[in-house]
Amino acid sequence: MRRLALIGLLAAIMALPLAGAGSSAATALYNRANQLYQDGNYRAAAGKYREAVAAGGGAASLYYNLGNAELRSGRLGPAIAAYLRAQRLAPRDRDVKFNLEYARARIKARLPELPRSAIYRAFDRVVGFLNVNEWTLLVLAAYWLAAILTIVLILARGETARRVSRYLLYVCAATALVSLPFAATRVSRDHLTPRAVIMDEKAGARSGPGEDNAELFELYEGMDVTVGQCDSGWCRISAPGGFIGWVEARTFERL
Amino acid sequence: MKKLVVVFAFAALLAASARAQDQPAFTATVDRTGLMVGERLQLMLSIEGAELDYRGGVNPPSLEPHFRLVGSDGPSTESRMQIIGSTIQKWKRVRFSYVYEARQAGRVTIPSLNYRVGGQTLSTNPITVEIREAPPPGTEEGGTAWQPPSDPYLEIKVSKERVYVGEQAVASWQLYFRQPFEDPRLSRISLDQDFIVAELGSVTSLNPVTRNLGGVDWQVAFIKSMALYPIKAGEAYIDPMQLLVKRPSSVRDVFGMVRWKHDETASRPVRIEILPLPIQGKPADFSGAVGEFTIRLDRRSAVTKTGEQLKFSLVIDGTGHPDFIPKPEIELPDGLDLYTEAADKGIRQEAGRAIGTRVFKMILVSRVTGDFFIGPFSFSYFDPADSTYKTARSAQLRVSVQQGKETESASGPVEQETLAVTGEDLRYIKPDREDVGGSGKWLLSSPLSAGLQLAPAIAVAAAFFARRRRERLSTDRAYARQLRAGRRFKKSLALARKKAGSGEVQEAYFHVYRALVGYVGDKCNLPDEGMTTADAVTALRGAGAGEEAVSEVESILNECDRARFAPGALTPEGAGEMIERLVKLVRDLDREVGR
Repeated sequence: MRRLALIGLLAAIMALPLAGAGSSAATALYNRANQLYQDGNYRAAAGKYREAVAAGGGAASLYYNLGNAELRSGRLGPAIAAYLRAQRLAPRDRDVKFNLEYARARIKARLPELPRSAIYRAFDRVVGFLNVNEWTLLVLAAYWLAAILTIVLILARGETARRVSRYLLYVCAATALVSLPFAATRVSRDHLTPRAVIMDEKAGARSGPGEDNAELFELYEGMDVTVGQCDSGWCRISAPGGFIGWVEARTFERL
Repeated sequence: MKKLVVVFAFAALLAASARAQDQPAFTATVDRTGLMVGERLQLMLSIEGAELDYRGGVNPPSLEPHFRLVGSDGPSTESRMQIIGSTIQKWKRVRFSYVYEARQAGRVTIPSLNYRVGGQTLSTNPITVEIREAPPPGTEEGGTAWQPPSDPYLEIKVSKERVYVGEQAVASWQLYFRQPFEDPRLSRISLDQDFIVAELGSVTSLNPVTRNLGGVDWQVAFIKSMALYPIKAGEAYIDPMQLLVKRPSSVRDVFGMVRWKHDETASRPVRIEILPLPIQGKPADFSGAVGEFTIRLDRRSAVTKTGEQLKFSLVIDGTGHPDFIPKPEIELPDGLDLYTEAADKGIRQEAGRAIGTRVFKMILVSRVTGDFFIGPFSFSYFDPADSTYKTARSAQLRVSVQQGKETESASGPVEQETLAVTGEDLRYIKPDREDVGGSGKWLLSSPLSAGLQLAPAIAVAAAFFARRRRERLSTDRAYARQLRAGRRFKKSLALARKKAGSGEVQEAYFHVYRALVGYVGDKCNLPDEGMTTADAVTALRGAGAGEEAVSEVESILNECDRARFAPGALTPEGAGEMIERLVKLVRDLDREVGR
C-alpha cells in the first residue's frame, strides 16, 4: 500500500509541470476568434487570437490560427512569426508546415542558402521531429528509468531480476545518452538562440549600427533571422546563407 | 456576345495546344553539322509527350570510325503538371546528351533512331555531318606544310584577339607530339585579374588522334578550353601554359635500368586587346550583358484562379556571362502580383563556345478575374557582331484568371484533390478547443524540475545505503540486536502500561522486568534468558554505562524481583512510577551505551 502511494506521488510530481494552467479566458477568446475567422473577419480574428495569447494561451493551434488570420489580413511577417511559434510547439503538424511554406513562398526575395551535408540534414530532421518538451521528457524518462533500474540492480536478491535489470539499464542509459545531443540542440535553438522575423516590407542590412554604414543586403518581410548583440536601437543579425549585417531593432519581432 | 466568342476561341486554342503536346515525339539534334578532326560534336536526344512512361532503352549510336563517343549525360527528366478546368494534364520530357570526338575526315550520317512507347514506334530524322581535316596552326585551311616546332608542342588557339569588355573569347590548348611520354604535368595559369573564366572542357587522360603534318604523322590531343570574359578595357595577356613530361633516355643506370629525362614545352603568350563598350546608344537598363541573347517564356498561355499561384519560367540565354543578365522588370496589370521564386544560372558548352543561361522562376498571383497579357519581358545587351546595343523581347504570356474560392471551407473529395495537386491555398484553421492554455514553457524552466533531476540520484544513493545496512544486518548479529533493542523494549513497555492500566500490577512489574532485561541483552549482545541482576550490571559496566544508570538498573530489577515474590504491597501508582523510571533509564542508557 505504502509502495503504491509512493508511485502515485512520483507520478504526480512528474505530471505537475505538464499540467498547463488552463486559461478559460484564453480559450473563450480563441473560440470567439475562430468564429470571426469563419465569418471572414480576419483582422478582428487576428486581434482576438493575440488577446488569447496575452491571456495565457500558448497552444500550437492558437499560433497556427493566428498565422492564418494574419496571412489572410495580408500581414506576412506576423503570419510567419506565428507559424514558427506553432511549429516549435507542434513540429510534426503537417498543417503548420504546409502553411509556413505557403507563407514563405510569398516572401519577395530569397537569400541563397548554403548547401548542407546529408548528415547535417538528417541530424536536423531528427532534432525537428520532437519539440523541446518532448525531447526533455524523453531524456528525463530514460534517466528516471535508468535510476529505477539501478535501484533494482542494487537491491534485487534474485539473479534473474538483476540480469534483466542490467540489460534494461543499458538500453535506458543508451537512450538517454543518444537523446541528449538532440535535446540539447533543440533547447539551444528554441530557448538559447534568439530568432526573429522581419516585419517591415523591406529592411536594409548595414555593415554597422547606424544609417551612415554601407548597406550590404536587403531583407524582406517574413524572412527569419538570428539576432545577436544590439547597440543604439540596431541589432546584428545573421540570415540564412551566412549573411551578416545590422538592422534597426524596430524592423523585426523576436520569436 | 463578343466576349463569349473570345472565351471560346481561347479555350479552343488551349485545347489544340494541349492536343499537340499530347503526341509523343522523339527528336535528335546536333550542335553543328560541320567540324574538323579533333573537334567535338554534341548529339542531343529528346523523348517527350503527355503521360509519357519512359522505361529506358535509349542508346547512343555508334559512329565509328569517324567519331568516338567520349562523354554522355542523362537521362534528365523534366515534367510539368497543369490544371485546366477539372482536367489535370501531365507532360514529361526525357533528354540525353552525347559528346563525340571527330577522329577521321569524311561525311557521316547519324542514322534514324527508334524508340517504342505506348504501342507505337517513334523515330528521329537522320542527320548528316561533314568532318574535315583540321588545318595546322599558322597555315591556310588544308595546308600541310606546317610542322610543330618541337616535340612535344603545346598550341593555344584563341577565337578572338580583339574583343569588347564582357564579350566571350574562347581559348583552347592542343598538344602535338610524336614520341611517347609519361607523367605529363601542366602548369596552372591565372587569368582572374583580367577575365571572368568559365572552363568549357578539360581531359584527365589524353585521347590523341593521328594527323599528317608536312609528311610526318603527329599525335594531336585536346587539353582544355576556357571561355574568357574580359572585365576591363585595355590589354590583357594569356600567359604561357607549361607542360613537363618524362621520357626514357638512352642512358642506363648501374643496375641496367632506363634513366628518364624531362622534356618541357609551353604555349605562346597571347595578347588580347579589349575594347571599351561605346557610350553612345547605351540603354538605361543595360547591365553589362555582351553577346547574342534570346529571351523566352516556358509557356505562352495559362489558366488560373484568383488567389492561386501560377508558376512559369523566363529563360535568357546567350554567349555572354550569366552574371551580367539581370531580372527583367515589367509593368503588371492592376490586381496582379509577380514574385521571383528562384533565379538559377549556368554555363553550358555549345558548338565550341559557352552559352550562359539564367532561368527566373516566377509566381504570378491574381486578385482579379479576366484575361491578361503579361509582358513582353525585355532586356538590353550589346551585340559585338555589329557593335550596337539591342533589346531582346520575349513573347507575351496570356493568362485567363477565373474566380477562386474566397475562403477555405470543408471540402469534398473533388476539392481536396484540387488542393492536393496545386497546393495553392492555406490549410484551414484548427477547430474550437476546451483549453488553449500555455504549453509553450520549457519543462525544465519550472523550479520543480530541479527535484525531478535530483530525485533519481538521491534514490540511488539511498538504495546503496539500504543495501549496506541489509548486508550488515545479515552478517553482524550484535549490530542487528542493537537495532532491534528499541523495538523489543517498546513492545514490552506497551504491555507493561496496559497491565498497569488494567490493575494487573504484578503482571505490569513482570513486563517491566522483561523489557529491561531484554533491552540490556540486545544492547550488550547477551542471551536475556536466565540473565541475573549481577549479569546485567556487569555487562552494562563493560559497555560503558555510567554508575548512576547502572545503580538504577540494579534498583529496578531488584524491585521487580520483590514484586514477584511479595505482591501484596503493589499499587497501580507504584507500577506507573516504575514504568516512568524505566523510560528515563533507557533514554540515559541509549545515550551512554554506544550502538
